[in-house]
Amino acid sequence: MAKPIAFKPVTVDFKADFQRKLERAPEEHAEALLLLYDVLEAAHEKGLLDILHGAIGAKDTIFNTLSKYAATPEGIAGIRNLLTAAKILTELDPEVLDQLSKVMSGATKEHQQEKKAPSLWQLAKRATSEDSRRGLSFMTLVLSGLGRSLKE
Amino acid sequence: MANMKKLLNTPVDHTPNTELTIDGLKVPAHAGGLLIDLLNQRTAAHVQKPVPQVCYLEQMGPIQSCDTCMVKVNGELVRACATKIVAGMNVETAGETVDIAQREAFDRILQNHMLYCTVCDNNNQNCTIHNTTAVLDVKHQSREYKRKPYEKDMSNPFYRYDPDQCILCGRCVESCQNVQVNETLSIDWESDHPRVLWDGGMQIEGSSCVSCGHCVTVCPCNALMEKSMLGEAGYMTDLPTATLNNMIDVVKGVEPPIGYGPILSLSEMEAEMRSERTKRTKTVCTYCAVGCSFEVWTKERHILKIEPTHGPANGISTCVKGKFAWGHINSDDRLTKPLLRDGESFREIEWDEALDIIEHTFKRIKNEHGPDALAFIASSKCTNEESYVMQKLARAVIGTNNVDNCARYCQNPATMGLQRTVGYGGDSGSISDIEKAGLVLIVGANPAENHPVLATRVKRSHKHRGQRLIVADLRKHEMAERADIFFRPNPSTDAVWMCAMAKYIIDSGLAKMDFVNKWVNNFDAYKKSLEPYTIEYAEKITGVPANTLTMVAHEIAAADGVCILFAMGVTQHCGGSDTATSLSNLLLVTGNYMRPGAGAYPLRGHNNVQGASDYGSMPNVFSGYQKVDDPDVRAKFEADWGVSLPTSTGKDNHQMIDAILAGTLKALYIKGEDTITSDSNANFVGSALEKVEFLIVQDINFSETARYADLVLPAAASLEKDGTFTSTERRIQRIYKAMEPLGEAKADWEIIQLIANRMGGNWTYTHPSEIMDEVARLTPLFAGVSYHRLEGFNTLQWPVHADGTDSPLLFTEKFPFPDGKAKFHPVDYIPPSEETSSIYDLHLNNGRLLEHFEQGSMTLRTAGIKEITPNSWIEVSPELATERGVTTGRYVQVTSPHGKARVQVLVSDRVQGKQLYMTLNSVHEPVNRLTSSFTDRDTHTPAFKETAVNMTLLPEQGDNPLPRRNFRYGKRTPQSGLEIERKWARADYHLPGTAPADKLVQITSTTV
Repeated sequence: MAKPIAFKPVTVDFKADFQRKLERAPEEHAEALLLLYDVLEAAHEKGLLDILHGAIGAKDTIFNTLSKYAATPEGIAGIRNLLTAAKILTELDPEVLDQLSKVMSGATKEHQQEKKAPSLWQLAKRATSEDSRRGLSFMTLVLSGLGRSLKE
Repeated sequence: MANMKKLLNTPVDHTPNTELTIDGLKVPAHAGGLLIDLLNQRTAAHVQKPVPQVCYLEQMGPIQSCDTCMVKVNGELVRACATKIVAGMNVETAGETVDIAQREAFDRILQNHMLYCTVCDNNNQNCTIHNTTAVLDVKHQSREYKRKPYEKDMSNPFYRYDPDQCILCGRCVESCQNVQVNETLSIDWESDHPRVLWDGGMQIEGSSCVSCGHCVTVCPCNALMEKSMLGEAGYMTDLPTATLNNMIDVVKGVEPPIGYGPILSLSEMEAEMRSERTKRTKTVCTYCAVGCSFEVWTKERHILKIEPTHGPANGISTCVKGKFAWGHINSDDRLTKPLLRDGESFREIEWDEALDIIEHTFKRIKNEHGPDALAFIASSKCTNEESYVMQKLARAVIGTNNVDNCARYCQNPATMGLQRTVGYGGDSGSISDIEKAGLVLIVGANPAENHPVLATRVKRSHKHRGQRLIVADLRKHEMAERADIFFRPNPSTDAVWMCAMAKYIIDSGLAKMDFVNKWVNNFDAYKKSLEPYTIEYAEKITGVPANTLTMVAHEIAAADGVCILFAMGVTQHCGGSDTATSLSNLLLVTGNYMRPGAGAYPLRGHNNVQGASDYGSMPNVFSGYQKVDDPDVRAKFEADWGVSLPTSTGKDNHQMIDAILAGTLKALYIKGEDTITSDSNANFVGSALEKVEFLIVQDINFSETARYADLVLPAAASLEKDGTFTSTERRIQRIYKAMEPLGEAKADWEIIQLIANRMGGNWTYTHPSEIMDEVARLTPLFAGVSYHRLEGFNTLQWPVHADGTDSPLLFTEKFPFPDGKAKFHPVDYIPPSEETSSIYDLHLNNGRLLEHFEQGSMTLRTAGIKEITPNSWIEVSPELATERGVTTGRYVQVTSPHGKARVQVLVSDRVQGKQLYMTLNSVHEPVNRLTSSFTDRDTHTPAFKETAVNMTLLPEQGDNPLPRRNFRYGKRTPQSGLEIERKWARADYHLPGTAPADKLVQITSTTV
């Protein structure tokens, strides 16, 4: 039997909850934890943990700085150019690029084998050959496409 | 009615009964159904490409604002959401015209909304704008995003509105006007810059917004968001604003060459990553008995949000408590270790020591004084399983039937009245019946504040489906304001007008005698008992004019289904059981049982007060209301439990208090209840709690009752355990554990088992499902209940047969009496126990508030609730205030024969004359210091509503106890809905896809 007592419980220590979980963790996650220790040790020896520690602490600063420069006109132009370059790589027909590289390689070898410069007649004959006309067609198509896009 | 809104709690019938053509294919369909529902079903079955839609939510019905669901029907462009299925219609969901229209509509939306999904807190795989961008495979937007000239509104404690992200879909307006029916939100369509308005203005704080959360839940993007999500939900959303803005600028800058595809993919990866750390757990609200169910999203212990989706009772609906009031879970004054009284304080001890003390003391008391010297009070907030094991501890281990629960304070008279007449003491049907009734009569209940989601169904049906609404109450609350007829009987006289109306109906030939003759016994005795209850007599006693009484009688007789909703205004009187009986008699004589849309609906108060009684925590019954003094029933339990059981009815909690004071009760174990503030006549109860030799209080916080305890045990909160609750609809629902108990707190069932086993119980439950299996084995009412059948959002409404069929509607075939018939139970009116006098000249009514639950133990621990409603108050009518010279804010002392309380005045026309209303939300000056020990004659429920007081002005004039920011000062702006026609009337609007310029050029690009 008792008179009523005013009482305020001890403020909850939410960290203590984590502490309890931590105490149980080694048993529950033994293998993963052991592997993690190896990874941590290796990273520490290479100085990576230090860098990571610093980076995490400066997360807002780093993100802010990166985003600030990325958001400048130059930054956006640079990212767009990178993306465009990536697009070129993905949109170009690999067969064409492959042919182009083989052609460059072949022409280089042929040129190296020429003992003297060809005559004008030989050049004109080569330039007006069916193969050369085919190549010129490709190059003029590229040229006119470029001119069209610059117009837009 | 030209535009009947759909029912919210009744699934739409999609049974095919006709046929149409979709993209050349013949498809079965339900005539009159919405085309968009059919298309969505086909999408879900993977036979149809998704049709984009932004504003449409099946649960709300069409609002026709986003225009993205455009399809062609019989060659014409139409909105799929607003098109009803007709036999033979020809639907095209693909093709250039449709594509142009859909894209044009969505492009208009993107002009209002900046897509930055990867750094958006709403990027949780359920964002409608994000998902529609993906469905339409939008590469670019033609219209540039435009900011709005409005600031973010952070004034509400729970959510914020960002006009810059608002797409003006109107879902929030529709949900506010026609689901919650609080009628706060609107859109100023005629403005140069339309935006969402609160009470027609631009600030949420101080408006009539009740923070129910509907608008936030239905918002298809991040314009309306829970504050608890901001900076918490995403991996990068807590970066400083400047950084986020830079990142958004970068994304917008690089978007032109690559389109939205890669950026959206990035955001989808980020959204998927969130699922690793955001847990979504299904639970049921811990507050009232509507039984709202939803998912709680948590990140460790941080509650990100409550997400209602398709709970059977509530769907997308919540109230302020269910949506936002979860501060008690992580309150820093939670109990985490057992506490032992030590001199003038308490000290923490280990569980073993606590159990040692309990074992030693229980055994000593039992040996010295017998098992009936111990008593147990179960909780209406704890689970069904916990109610069951509490009564099993009392009966099987200790050997006493001294077990009860807080239904004693509130619901037992309703149960008595219904059991006497129709056999079962529960709601006759479901909320779906209430919303389709022809007439809803609310007696002594304030559902807009105490059962808010249930009340939304009544409000919606009243507003849009022609439902009639009649309210009988002392106080002009929201439902009274909306009612077609509102009358105010004198306190404690409801039984009189109910009997008078029944007599009038019989005498006028309006009674449903076919029904009565077939299904109800004892009519002649009942009719004879009504002879004194003439309309004139009723007018004299109740103070209600005769023509009002007859008008209401005619309404009841004529209605196509009458649901009577009632609560403490009926039950908490000396004649509470008789009033509930009169109510049920009235329903019987008018044929309002055994059919949908009719019946008696005692609105249970707590999340599990229904279950606390259902599962046997009562002195006279085992689980399922099987009588303890029935030898066959007792033999069944004895055989299963392996013990001998006590044979006579035990003490209810009122009798326990008397027994303590008489010296015969020595130990009391209270689980999850603040008895000193909940029971009537607090001073009287306090004297008993001081005297009892050994008091254990088990709770999540150190309550006022714990101050009297010898031992306090820390319990887990609802989000920290598994189990089930039973709602007012008799609906049994699962709660799932979302997080571990705090500190060394344990689930109540675990604690009870530990105690039982110390006392020799040999219990071996490892999970609440095993407890439920035992209940099902022993309880015909719950024979088919199992956790398997209750998985996820599945529910069962008792009775549940062994094969799992449940009972949304009671009495479909007969009544549960031996001859299958109900029975009239005549009553005699006896005046109230405590009437006003020359000394105590005022009548004190009391009750809850919307934003608080009972005394505020849980709700005051949510900062936002405390902010908008920090205080309790007493409502004084304007005429009484003038007479006594009192103004709002003045402190008064309210005195009754039983005690006194100091409280501030709020002058309000909700009360009239010499009637006062004191709010319950205070443990320091609880209203129960004023209430008496008079009880209902049949159930001992305290007559809380029969209290006479006087009021003395104190010198102190304080501030208004209700801060100006509270929603009660707001002025609603009711309208039929979104009023989308006003948008269509704008000069700059045309139906998408109908203008030549609507053909957007989509730059094709490679999607990464």
